[in-house]
Amino acid sequence: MTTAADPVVEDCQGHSQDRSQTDLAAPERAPRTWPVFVALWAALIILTIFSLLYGRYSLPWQSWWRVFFDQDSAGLESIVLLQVRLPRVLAAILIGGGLSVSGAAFQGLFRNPMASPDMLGAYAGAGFGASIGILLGFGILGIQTLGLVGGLVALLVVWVLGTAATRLGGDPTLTLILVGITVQEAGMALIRLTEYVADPHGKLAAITFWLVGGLSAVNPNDLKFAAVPILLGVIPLLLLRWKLNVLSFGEEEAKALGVNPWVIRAVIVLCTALISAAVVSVAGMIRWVALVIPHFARMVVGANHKALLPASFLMGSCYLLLVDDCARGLFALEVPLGILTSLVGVPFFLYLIYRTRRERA
Amino acid sequence: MKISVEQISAGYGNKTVIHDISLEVASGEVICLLGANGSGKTTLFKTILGLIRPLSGKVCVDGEDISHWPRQRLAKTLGYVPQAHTPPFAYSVRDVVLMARSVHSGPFASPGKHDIAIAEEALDRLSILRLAHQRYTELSGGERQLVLIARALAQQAQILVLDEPTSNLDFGNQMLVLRHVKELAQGGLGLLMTTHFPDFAFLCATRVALMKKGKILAIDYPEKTLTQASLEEAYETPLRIADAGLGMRVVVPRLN
Repeated sequence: MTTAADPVVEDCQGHSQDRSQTDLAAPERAPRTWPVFVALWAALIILTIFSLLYGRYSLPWQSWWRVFFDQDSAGLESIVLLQVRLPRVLAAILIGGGLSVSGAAFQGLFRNPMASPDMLGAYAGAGFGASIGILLGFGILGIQTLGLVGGLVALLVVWVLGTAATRLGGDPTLTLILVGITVQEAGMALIRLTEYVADPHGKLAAITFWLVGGLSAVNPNDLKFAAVPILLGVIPLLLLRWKLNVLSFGEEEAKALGVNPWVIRAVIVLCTALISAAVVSVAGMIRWVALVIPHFARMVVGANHKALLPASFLMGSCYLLLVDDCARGLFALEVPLGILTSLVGVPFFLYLIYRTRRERA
Repeated sequence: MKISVEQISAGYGNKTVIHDISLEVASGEVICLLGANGSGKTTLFKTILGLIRPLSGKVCVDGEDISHWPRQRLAKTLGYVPQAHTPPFAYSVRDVVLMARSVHSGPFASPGKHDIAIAEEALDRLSILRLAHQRYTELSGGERQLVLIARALAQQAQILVLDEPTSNLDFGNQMLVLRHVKELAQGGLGLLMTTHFPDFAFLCATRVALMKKGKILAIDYPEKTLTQASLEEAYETPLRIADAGLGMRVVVPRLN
């Protein structure tokens, strides 16, 4: 564009010429996002079918017919499909989508593409809650409930400390992140403490297995337990996604545009924490999904949260289905999903860093 | 429509930054706010926009105290045009303008066809409709400033508050923005803007307020407010006011 060094006369002429042209020329159309969504839905459906049929116990597609229409002859097939594979696949869809939506919303709220919902302490809090549950010898429902409660309590602590600090002045979102990271670290230390005092031949292994993250143990009850809080978190985020655009311009501009930032921030933070805590409660600490997937969604559908949030959900679902299939099939022994998402997420993220640097240069 | 600031004092914490300020902006007017750094221009703006509560005094719209108005109602009356900035995400220009439409919709709503028509009309009014589908982050500073003005137009506010709309722009773009400011006032909007250049007030203001240390030194039409004596007092630097012909005045600074 024009710079201060340009001759003034030319500059003015340039602008007036621009104007006479634009009054006549029709604007080009907005880029359409629906083909992307058609492709993402198709990918999700294909991956879902593949993931249901794929596995150590191989099942032809006719098994589904038998399970639904001829239950007497189904037998073991019915158990494998309905009790093992279906819950696992649905959990991957919900967890991958939920984490990605919460990541996209979180990055918009905090106006920082490097932000991730586990920064607000919900992950560590839920992990600590679940570890305590295992340590105390609770049943599976007790462990999951303690995990969910732990995540929400951690968020409450962050919110109370954060708003108290904000009253003294400064940027509320930055304050919240700083307090969140602190509480997160405290939670991780407490998790280490539960591991330290746990019986090394029994409960320590159980805690480690839980926290490393995976879907191998997900059964229909776990799915029900996680689905409610994840959907309770995802739906308000999707409903508020346009306001998220406004909020990403910062506190004062949002207010001047008629949006109350406190209310929306509270709802978004609560929803993302609910999703995080629910994920940790049934599947352990699956990391990097919430951070990485929104970036890819942004590359495909652009920054507008109206398209970004649904696209993130679909891409996150596909991604976790794919990674979970790898976890099941890559090696003779199942690799924990939480390890794979980190191993895949880190190089993705490095690639993003290089890419954004190159664009700026 | 008229917005009146009545004997406002405001500040942060225990520190009072502006003292007993009164001014009015009516439809069709351009009020320029001049003053040295730290003279309280931004604090005055924040108070008018309801971002900070005044310690005393009140802001009224057509005589009605607006301190208890909900944000959305306030935003239908008052539009804020911040300095051209770079948001962290690469929204399209049309999306940036559409964000103003949340003023007129419920919490879960997103803009529809009617809103898109209003946003495109606002872009067209500033002759930047051709930019509608470009990325806001990739525009020049002058274009981004025009987009933010278009956003305030799409908000359909009657009074616009512009925070140094010419800062960080090259000479041609500064004049482009001033031209639009003048046109918008002629079209019936009221505008209140800050600037660091007294010449700009001569060019487009119907009235000028000169601030120093949180107080208004003078407020009147430009030729009356901006005299050698008042400007030297406000900026603490020697200067002359020259006649550039055609009835135009310019401020000529002197280094010694």
